[in-house]
Amino acid sequence: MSSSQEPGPGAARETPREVTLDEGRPIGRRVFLGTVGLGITSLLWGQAAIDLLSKSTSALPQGVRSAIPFGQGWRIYAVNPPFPTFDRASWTFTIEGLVEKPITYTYDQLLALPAADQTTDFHCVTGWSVDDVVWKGVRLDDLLAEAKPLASAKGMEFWSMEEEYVDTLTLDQAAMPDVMLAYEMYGQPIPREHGAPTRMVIPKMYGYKGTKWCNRIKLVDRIEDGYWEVRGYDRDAWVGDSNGL
Amino acid sequence: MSEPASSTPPPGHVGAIGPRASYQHRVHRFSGSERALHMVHGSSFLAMMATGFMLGLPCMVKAYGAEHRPLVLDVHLVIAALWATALSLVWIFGDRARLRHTREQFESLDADDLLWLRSKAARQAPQARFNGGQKLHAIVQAALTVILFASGIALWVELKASGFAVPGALGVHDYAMAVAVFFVVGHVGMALSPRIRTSLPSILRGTVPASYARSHHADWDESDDPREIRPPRTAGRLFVGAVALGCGVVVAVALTNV
Repeated sequence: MSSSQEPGPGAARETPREVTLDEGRPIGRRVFLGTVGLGITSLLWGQAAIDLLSKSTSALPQGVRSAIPFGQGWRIYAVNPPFPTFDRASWTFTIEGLVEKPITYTYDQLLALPAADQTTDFHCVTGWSVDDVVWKGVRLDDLLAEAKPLASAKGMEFWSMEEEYVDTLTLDQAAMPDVMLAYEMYGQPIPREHGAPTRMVIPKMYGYKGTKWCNRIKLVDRIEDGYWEVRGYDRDAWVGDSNGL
Repeated sequence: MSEPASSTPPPGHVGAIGPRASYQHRVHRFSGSERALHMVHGSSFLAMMATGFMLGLPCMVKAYGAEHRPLVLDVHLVIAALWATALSLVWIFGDRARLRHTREQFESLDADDLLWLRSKAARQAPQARFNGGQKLHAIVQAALTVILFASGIALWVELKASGFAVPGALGVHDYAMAVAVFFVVGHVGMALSPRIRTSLPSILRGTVPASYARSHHADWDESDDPREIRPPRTAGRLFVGAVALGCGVVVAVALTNV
């Protein structure tokens, strides 16, 4: 670069230069190497740093946390924002369709059902994952015990308070031991953006199968495509073995 | 400057650009290799950004139909392979000495560059062929490109090799892209600003009006930047380039089929 004190051939300065120029330092090279080094090594420590930062924000209000781009590695999606709201006094969870006895639970009745805990990984079809998510909720067997599915039932639909959103599982899929209707996440009631007060958790399938803000299960004799399946994703969303992955 | 002087400069407008420069006269700023590099990098970046958004944003997946997402992923990978190949071809066929010369200019920041970066009010500080902002942008973009390629390769291996996982890869890829987009928006915004819009065609044509060079790059002595330092020799390079292009196509096909 031309940082020479000497003007070009034939050139004359309009005014004397008041700033004393040096010959230029290789700051650019240092910035380049530093940025590359930071970026490449962050493949190793980036996730740990995000986790650490995330933990350090745990004292902040949930609304603030969700606005921070390292919220425990989650990316929050909704098909029809704003997120549905939960009113504990009026909220109900309904089981209907091909059952002997349609039933409606209040939130407190749901919490009184036999509870299960699990720590499982969460995988999104868009490529991100969150490891070791701690859930607490109700297994579907316990949830359906009183309603008693009819022999003609082949599967179930999980309806969301978020209008339009529904997804499905066959009875066999719903019977997997780690499938649950969760109401706690990391030891706290499920936050609004994660599906408060209840959401489906299906660890062996991609996240779009886990209906958030779920408040209704309908037993059916024929499985239809859910919200994202109508839009092209696979109905059987096995992690690592579906959607072209 | 290699072109002959064509007119007498207006009084009082004589700087590092030299007395030959006038308002009508144009001075050579970017070589063909530099313009090709900029074109390849810029267009590839925009294509990668577009397909990246299409992969990562559910609202976009919904718009084009999730059944096409594997195809979009393939397109993203093919563009990445062709991007690397095209950059290699520019390096192979281009004026490498001139590109090295330009890289050295980017790497070296003097007091006026730092003054330019430090304060908007200080942007009258005389600049050389590139101002402080252009240098910083080029440096950061180059670094981010390396990071995007590295994290992208990690993601691809993770996708194809079950059991292999780099937990931070997607975060690094996305954050690097976010920073890159931030810089590109600033770069394009400044390029389009009325103050310097005059120079915009120079990235396509290679020249800027001498008056512009004098007022915005008063510390630029264009005799330091010959149009060509080492003209490319075609024979051997054609062969190497063909091999590079072939390798790029093979890699692109392999990425989508493995």
